[in-house]
Amino acid sequence: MKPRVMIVDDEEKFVDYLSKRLINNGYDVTTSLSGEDAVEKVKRYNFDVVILDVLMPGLDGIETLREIKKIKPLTEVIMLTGHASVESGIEGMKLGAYDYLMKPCETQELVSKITKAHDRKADQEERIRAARVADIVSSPRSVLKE
Amino acid sequence: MKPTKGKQLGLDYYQRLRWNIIAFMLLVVLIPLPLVAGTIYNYYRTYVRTTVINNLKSIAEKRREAIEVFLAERVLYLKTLTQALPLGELDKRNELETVFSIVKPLSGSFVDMGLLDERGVQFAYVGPYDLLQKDYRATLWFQEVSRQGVYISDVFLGYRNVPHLAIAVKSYTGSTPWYLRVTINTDTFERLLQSGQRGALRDAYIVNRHKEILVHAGTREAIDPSSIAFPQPEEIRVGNVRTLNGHSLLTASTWLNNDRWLLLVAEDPTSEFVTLAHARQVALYLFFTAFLMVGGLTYYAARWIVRKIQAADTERDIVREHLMQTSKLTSLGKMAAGLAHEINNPLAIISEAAGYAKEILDHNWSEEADLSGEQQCELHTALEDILKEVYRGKDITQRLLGFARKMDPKIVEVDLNKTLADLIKFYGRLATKSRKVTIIQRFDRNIPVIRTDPDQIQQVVSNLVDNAVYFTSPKGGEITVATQLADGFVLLSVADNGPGMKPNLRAKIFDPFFTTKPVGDGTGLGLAICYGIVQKLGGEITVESEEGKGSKFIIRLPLEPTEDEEERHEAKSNDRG
Repeated sequence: MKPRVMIVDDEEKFVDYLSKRLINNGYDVTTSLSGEDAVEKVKRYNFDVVILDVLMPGLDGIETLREIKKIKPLTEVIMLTGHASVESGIEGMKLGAYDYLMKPCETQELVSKITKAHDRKADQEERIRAARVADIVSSPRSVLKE
Repeated sequence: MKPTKGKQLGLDYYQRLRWNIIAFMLLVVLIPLPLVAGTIYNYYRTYVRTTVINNLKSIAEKRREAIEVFLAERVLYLKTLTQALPLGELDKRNELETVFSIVKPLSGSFVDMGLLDERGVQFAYVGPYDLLQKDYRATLWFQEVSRQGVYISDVFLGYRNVPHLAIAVKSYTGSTPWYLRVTINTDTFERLLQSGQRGALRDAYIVNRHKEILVHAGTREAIDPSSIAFPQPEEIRVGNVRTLNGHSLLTASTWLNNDRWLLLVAEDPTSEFVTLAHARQVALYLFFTAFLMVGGLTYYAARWIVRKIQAADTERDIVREHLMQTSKLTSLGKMAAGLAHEINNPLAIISEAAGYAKEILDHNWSEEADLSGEQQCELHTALEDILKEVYRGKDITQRLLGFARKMDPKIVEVDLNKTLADLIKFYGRLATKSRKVTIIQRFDRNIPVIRTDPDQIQQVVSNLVDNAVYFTSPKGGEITVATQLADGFVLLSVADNGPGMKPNLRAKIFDPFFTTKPVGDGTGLGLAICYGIVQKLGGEITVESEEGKGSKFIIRLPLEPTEDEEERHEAKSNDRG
């Protein structure tokens, strides 16, 4: 299955080109131009990796990250920052972001990080499944809990 | 270069200051100095006058006493003689001669002596005149002496035209009266009048009630007796008389005991008052010397002071310049972060667009096919977008360069609304993205083009907007930048709906190094520098604020800066060639 990626940034052209390139690289890409919109989309759909700009009007990157982690905690988030603000990168990672990158970014690097993030998510989901299977096996009634 | 008012007078600010200081210090000295000198001089003058007058009075008094004592003694002497010697009988002529020859050497003033009987006939006489058997019965003096017992005559010109004086006393042999009469010359008088004087400064006179001069003791020119004014009885009157040559003399006059004679002591006032005139001259010389000294010292003191002030001013200007630069660098630092972000966005887009274009071509080359129409479109669009972003980046770097350029105050025609709009466009993205703050523009279209320095205006407004953003976030808020035309001035305001300021805060807000931001965030220089810049542009910056109701900074700018400012700016930019 193609990894599902959402790009969130208020710079439309940037989002446009990046999504085209990621599509070319074989990803399933959704775009969003604001934090609020991104949160809505996360509620409705499932994404594997979200690429999130830190500095946005309205709901900023950190807030959006927080919301996403509340709704779908397994979603991996990669922060993008246009200014050399290491603090927001670190803050993001403390809140659960996978990594952070600086714009402009080398597409290869981005792709490699997306892959790693996606792998981690897949890995996590696998472990969750395994745990649930073990749970069901030990106590069949837990199926009903779902 | 147009001459300013100051240059037309040939003085510049520091010269004017120097003259002001000198004038002030001279005034401070020159007002009390003459007052003191004048007062002291007056006291001295009064003292001298009083002393002179008192002196004169005292002399008059003493002379009066001396004369009265002299006369009384003569009378007593005669009375004693009449008691001691039985001179009342006729034929005592020889005896009278004996008496006279005894008496005369002892008291040289006796000129002659005579005895009169009860009928007034002089029956015995010793002296230079031929007065034997003369009948005086009808005379005034005989009648007086027979009534009063004593008679002292007026001074008259007698033997050899020398002034004489006659004294007569009455005596009795049994019940028959007889009279002793003597004539004395007035040498003694004169000696009495003159005695006790060192240096013969004063003449003394005895004058009768008809204003005839009886005695004049002294060597000076005689007075004109018609200019004498009689004193009251018992009074020692001080006044003036004229001499025959028209000079004015100071006099003290008093009646002698018999009230028939006026004793008058006259003095030339100028001689006494010479010392006073001398004192006055000395005072004037001293005053002028003091004036010159003070003037000279003041001049040098003022020069020194003004030079110090000039040095201090120059230093202050240098420091202020440094402060401005420092503040600029600080702002620059803050801007750098924002700018990096701003530039990174276009770069990111260029990176993606170029990468995308490359991928299309890569893909194509690997397929070894021609580019499809759609692919050609995509490539074209991508390259166009790249170019757009390049110019966007250039725009941003230009702004940065403009800000970093060493501040050359340049007065040019400025469309204020446009300048502010540009600034807000630049700032707006930064402010609104990071801090949830919106910037509202409210520009008056009627404001004219003004002559000012747009870079400095932008610096001031950025500072104000910065502060507004700082204080309204993180809750977010609104900043309103407005322009307005108001009688001959343009008003530029930056208002926010942040926390506002208490009155004591508002009062200090423009003070250098005053800040409410935590350490490291604020230097406290921003508003102080804004204040300085606005002043230099000929304007004024004020603040309206209430706690809880936000703050509004209002800058009032003239349509043109004043000539001084313009000149200074021109001069500076000319220096820089």
